[in-house]
Amino acid sequence: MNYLEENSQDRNPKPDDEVVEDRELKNLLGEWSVPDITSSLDQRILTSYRRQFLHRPLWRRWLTGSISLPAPVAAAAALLLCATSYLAARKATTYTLETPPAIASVKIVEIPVPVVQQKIVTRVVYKKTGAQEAQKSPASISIPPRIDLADFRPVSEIKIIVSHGGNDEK
Amino acid sequence: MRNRMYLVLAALLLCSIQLQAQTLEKLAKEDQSPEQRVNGIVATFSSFVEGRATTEGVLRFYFTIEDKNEIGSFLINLSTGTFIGYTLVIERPEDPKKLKITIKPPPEDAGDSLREGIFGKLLELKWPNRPSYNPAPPASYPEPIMINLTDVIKIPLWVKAGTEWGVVGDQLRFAIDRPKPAREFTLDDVAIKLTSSRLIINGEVRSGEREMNDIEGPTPSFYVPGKGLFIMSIRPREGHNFQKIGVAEGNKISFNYGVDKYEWAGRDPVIASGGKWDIWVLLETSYQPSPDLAEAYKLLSKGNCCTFAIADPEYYKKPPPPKK
Repeated sequence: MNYLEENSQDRNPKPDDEVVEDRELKNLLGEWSVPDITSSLDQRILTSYRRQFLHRPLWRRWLTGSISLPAPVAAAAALLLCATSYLAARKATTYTLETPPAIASVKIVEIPVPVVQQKIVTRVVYKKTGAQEAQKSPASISIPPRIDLADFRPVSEIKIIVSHGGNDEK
Repeated sequence: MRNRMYLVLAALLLCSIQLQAQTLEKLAKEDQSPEQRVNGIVATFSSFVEGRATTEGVLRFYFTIEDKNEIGSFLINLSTGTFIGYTLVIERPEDPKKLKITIKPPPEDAGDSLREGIFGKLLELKWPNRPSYNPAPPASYPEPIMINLTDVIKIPLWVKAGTEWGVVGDQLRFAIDRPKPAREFTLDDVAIKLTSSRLIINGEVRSGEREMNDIEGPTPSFYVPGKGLFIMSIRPREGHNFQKIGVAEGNKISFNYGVDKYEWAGRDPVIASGGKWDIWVLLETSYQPSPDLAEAYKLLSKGNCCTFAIADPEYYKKPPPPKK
């Protein structure tokens, strides 16, 4: 059968023809008797349905399932999502702006610096004092805290520390 | 037999550079070479500190006992007057790149010898209130160890516990010593030796109640207050006004200077080969011993008037530098 021929303008039925065809169809339908449906058919269809849907794993049904949602509810949910996202983004931006200065201040302060400075000052004062003593008059000399060995005691056990290229071992 | 370490320490104190270094501090700073040589090895000493400590408060004295491959090390804590000593033994195993290092205590009688010597008297003068002038020996010493020639060893010697802890000790490096070339024998190699000597001036013993420490070298000397330093030599020295006025015979050197007669007598022959020999004498009137040394000699022998030393032989080997 040629498809183009069947759907061509020339092959379209006219209204009178349609009425005749409907009558013939009605007659034909009246003469057609539907066979009885056996009870096993229902059972087979139900079993097939259950096999397809009810016995599928929950995770699979969850992944492939769908829910129907009214359009206004969906629109409201979308608006709510946008609004909360915007607010969350604003808050997050503020937080990140505050955080870097906090980190920067820690780095600028650099806790070791005061310790190092303190050590340097202590040693410089100690070492320079000798030179100052020779130059200044006795009245201007202030005695600094001196590192001496007054509290040092001889070791109770002599140990040899061997250094192989800078690595010490006892 | 007298303690060898004591003898070496005494020699250190007596052999001062141009006779100027006569206090413990000067001796430690000027006369102590950080390089000590034994058994074909040069051991270079330096200080190390850890924690809150300084090396400035420690006086160091080193000396070698070559025939025993030993180096003695003494360290004095200037803040307390306590001192510690150890003996370093360097042995050379078959492997030329290895060294066997042993740290052992000073000889048992080192304390007595030091206390009875000029070294101990200088300590006594500097720290008069100390109950003891013996070295503080550590309770234990390590087992001998084998090291590579290129290794560096540290020996902690002074410690301070607590929050402001610190450690002070010796650090040593080692190297193969250059072999000494043979040289021509000279008269300076003939030592004038005065063992357990006494000084007699005009027939009177002036060195006090006990004998002086051993002195051995080419230019032994003694200082007499009001006169000066008399230096003796077996030969004249260019540029220095040595006069052939003395005689070494048997155990004694004797000479006359001005109206005074001086006799310096020991227990052994002054010249090892014996005999009777001319002695050249120089009087250095400008010399003055340090008050510490003069006082220490008085402590050493009650009634002693004088100090004894070996004048720097290198200085007297050549003419003195022109005065500016």
